[in-house]
Amino acid sequence: MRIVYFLRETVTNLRRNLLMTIAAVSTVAISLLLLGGVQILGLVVHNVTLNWEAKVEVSAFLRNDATQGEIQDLESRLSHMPQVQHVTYVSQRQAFEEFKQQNRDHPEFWQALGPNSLPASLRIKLTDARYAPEIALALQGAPGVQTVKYGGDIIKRLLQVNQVLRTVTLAMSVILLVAAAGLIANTIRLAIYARREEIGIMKLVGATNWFIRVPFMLEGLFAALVGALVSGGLVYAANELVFSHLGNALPFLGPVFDFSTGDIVSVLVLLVAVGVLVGLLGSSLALRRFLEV
Amino acid sequence: MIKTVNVSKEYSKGVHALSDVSIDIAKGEFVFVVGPSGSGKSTLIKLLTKEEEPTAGEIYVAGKNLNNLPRWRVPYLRRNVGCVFQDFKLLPNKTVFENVAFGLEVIGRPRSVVQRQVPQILELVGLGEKLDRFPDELSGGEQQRVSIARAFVNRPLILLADEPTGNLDPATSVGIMRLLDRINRTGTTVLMATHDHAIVDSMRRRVIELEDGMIVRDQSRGIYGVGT
Repeated sequence: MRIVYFLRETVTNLRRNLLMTIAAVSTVAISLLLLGGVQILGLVVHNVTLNWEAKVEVSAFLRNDATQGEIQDLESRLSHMPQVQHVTYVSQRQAFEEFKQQNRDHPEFWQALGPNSLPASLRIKLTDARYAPEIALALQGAPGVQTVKYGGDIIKRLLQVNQVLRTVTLAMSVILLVAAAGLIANTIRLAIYARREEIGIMKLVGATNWFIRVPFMLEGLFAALVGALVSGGLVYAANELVFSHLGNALPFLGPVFDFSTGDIVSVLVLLVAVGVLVGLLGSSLALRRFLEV
Repeated sequence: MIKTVNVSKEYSKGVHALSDVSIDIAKGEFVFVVGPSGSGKSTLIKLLTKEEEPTAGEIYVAGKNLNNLPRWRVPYLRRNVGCVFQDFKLLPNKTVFENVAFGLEVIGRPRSVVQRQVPQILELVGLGEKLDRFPDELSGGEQQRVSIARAFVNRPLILLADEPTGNLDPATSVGIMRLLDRINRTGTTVLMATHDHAIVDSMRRRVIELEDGMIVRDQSRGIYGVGT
């Protein structure tokens, strides 16, 4: 009985202010779509970094006079570090062979070099590319080590760009979400105004404040939820129709747009959760100063 | 049933609506509160439903001390106190039945109770045939009956009426007074604010007269004015 009453009231309110309801719903949808975009961007950057990180390794070039003992010390020290996945020793000869292999079309590069002209090195594969600077620092100046190199700069740059992009888009979606909450609040305020007579009588005959509030709260919640579902639907459709085919259409991108179902679901859950939050925020904004008596 | 102890109400800017008002009304009494406009009648009624808070003094309604009644309990107080106003306060887009049912629905009464009590009370106020009419299809007297039905459908202990005949012609007013009298006879305490001489004089009930917010007379079986 109560639930039927609440739902009937909510629907009536929404219908009475159809235009404001549409405005509120679409603002929620757009701002949540932006938020969804931020999340997708995050997933893309995550994929890209994963791609790059797989290629990151730290190379410690050894002095030519490094002793067998020093090399073994280094190797065992490194393999005991939790950040290190595994360590490979590359001798001078192996390094020269690799170089030859890499430049087989330009024999002039290596013909003049002797097999011992390139330094031996330890190649260190990490559990996470983030540790590269740390490991590099630890190796710098260790006995037997000449120089340390790692391809971390590009990752650092990528993460920085990602950070900036995320911050900007996040700020935009927060601003839009606040606007959405305001619009929802306004929609509800209009609904309250349209029904002030009824509300007065409800108070008069002893309806509790919660009883009066619930239809209005449901209204805000409903507007936000519809907005969230619209934006969620668009994100889902974009994934199904565009992203999942992008890998095939543009193979050079690599697996950048391959998202797991879990990833997409968590984005959708986030959108709906934030939508509900915005709806509640807007409703309570509108109801805060109302029903004082 | 209703008791005020040295109650004063001062609105902002030093307007004294009520000064040192002490009233004691027993269960089942019928009391007129009379006095010219601005004498504090409406303020007294607003204090009794906790729509306004007194500046000083204590108020007891239906056994509750309103001074320390928490805000969330106020709706439950109002379920024991029916209210009728000069302007009826009916919802124009609801039928007679729906207007009265509304008063029960919004305090969470089940549908079965609504279906049983609403026709009963409308029969009592003499509108048993007009359940499906809208307020603007009724005369003023009939509209006031609907409003009384809504105030009384929940069987409150107290009925407060603020100038219920203020918008009605004398003949119609008599009908409303008969109805209030009948409600009073069911044991409901009735407090009615009015400045209608004829009604007060014909009923011969207790009269409390206010002037400038002060009680100048409290007389059982009184008439409107002594010497006016």
